Amino acid sequence: MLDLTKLVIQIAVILATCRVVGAIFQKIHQPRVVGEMFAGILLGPSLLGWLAPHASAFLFPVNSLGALNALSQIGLVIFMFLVGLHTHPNELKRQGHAAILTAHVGIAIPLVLAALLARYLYPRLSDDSVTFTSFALFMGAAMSITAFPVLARILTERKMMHTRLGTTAVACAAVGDATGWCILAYIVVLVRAEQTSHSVWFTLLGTVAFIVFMGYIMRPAMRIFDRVYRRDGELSDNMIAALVLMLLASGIFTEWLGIHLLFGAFAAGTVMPKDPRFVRYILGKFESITVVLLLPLFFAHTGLRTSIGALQGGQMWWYCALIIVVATVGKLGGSVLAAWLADIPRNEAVGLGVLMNTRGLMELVILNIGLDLKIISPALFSMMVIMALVTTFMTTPILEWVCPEEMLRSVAEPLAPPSNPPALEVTADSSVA
Amino acid sequence: MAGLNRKFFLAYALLVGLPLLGLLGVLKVGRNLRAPVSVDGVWKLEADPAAIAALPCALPAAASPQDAIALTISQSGKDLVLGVPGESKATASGLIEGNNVRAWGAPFVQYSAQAGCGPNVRLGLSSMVDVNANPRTMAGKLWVQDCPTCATVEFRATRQSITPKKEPSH
Repeated sequence: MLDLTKLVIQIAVILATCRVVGAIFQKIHQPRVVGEMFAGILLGPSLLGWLAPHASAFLFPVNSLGALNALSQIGLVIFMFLVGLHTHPNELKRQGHAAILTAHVGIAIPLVLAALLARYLYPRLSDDSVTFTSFALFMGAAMSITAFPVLARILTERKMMHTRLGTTAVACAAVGDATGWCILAYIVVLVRAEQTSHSVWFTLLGTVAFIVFMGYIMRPAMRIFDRVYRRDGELSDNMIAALVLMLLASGIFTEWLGIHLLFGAFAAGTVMPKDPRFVRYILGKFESITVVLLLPLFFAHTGLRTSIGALQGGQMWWYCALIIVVATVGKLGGSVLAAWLADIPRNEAVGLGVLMNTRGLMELVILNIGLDLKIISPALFSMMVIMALVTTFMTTPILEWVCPEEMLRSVAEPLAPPSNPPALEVTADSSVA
Repeated sequence: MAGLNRKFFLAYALLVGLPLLGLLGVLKVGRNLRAPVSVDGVWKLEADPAAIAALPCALPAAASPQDAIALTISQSGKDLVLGVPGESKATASGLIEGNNVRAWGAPFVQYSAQAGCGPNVRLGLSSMVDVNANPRTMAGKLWVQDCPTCATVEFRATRQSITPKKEPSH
């Protein structure tokens, strides 16, 4: 039975902790979202459960977490819609060869390095209920992802959004995200096909039909929202409700197909009109409640599943260090190499690699799916969360080091603002953006 | 322009094509890898209720002999963490080697006050997993360490909450 008082107390504690830790991280030039991710870890067994087990048991008893989880998942569904809303892979074409090469190398090299690492980790951290293919591809997807929203926030804060480096990074991240989600969808299909009555072919063909339907039927149909917005300057409550229904229907359909609710939400966002003013308007409607209220619940939910104490012994920490090194070498190293070969100046190439290595919130979303599907074990989940935090945390200081503002002003020629700037940059105090 | 395109395609083939071929190779070779036997999930233990009740630091369900004892196992490779459903705090840690599970742990907090029990008492578990059964089962024994007068309790357990997937035969 739902204990409403307990749920309200939990939400209050989570929000207060996330705001405080987020503000502290902002003081040290980190995006607020990194602090909020960290706050989630603090509330879990890694700190609160370790230092004050009775307080932890009182605040977060296991049988009370269902409601918290449900709220956090609703937040994720809306968040994925917002990510899809400002994902525009066509931008990549406008950035030229350098961006195409960097984006694709930034996926291919982490994939192969993660698969090699998986060969080492599979017998040590997995079990025979997971196939090696699923395990290795999941590790690859998790290591090749870039957190578009965090990256946009960092670029905005450093006034780099409209530089060559900024626009290239944004285009590459959009492609990386879309590809990473496709790989993950494939893994979910593989794993769920073994658990459900749906055949793989049913799911694959259904997914193709869904993508075609979204691209060729829904995308043109969605223009009606843009037309009404242009005409009236706003959308009526009924129009907003229709949009939410479309988002939910899309999510429910992909869940029924056997992939995941979040893919449908992401797809619904990608087919929305991309006019910047319209995108900002929709963000204004959804973003605050999502990033201020619901996403911190997701961070807490993730933190409650992360047990750094489970990494006992030097061997576990060796695996963790190895994961961080391979993830960084694959994503950062691969992107730098590709950018350098594409004649991007050395410092900018390193800056691009560092930006692509930002994993942040998107990584946590993927890891939670992996843990829910039991593709990764609890210990590996904790290691990957640490990797996500480390690679996201390292972005700003390394970027300040390799691309100081003076260099950006003198070397990186500012470009005209793109026709479709990442809309999340418009909100000043957004947790995600 | 032609030079640029040639360089681009060369770089693309080297840095995208080759890694993807490498990925296929790694996936193919990796199919032969074997991971530890999966015991992750919720298990229902069946044992003689009288024997369970007589065991110091008896398990939670001993109070109601009709009910089977539920045990959760969280697995990371060979390492296991054992607990009871609904309890966030782990009660025992263990290992799986081959088909053999071994675990040791402190008694459940709410039972440590029982006669013959205490915080220094250690419970032991040893069992053999039947990997061919679907759902998986295991049979073994529970005992109290350093207690010669305590009887050993034999049990049989069936996994409840995980659907065993196909073995990696793809």
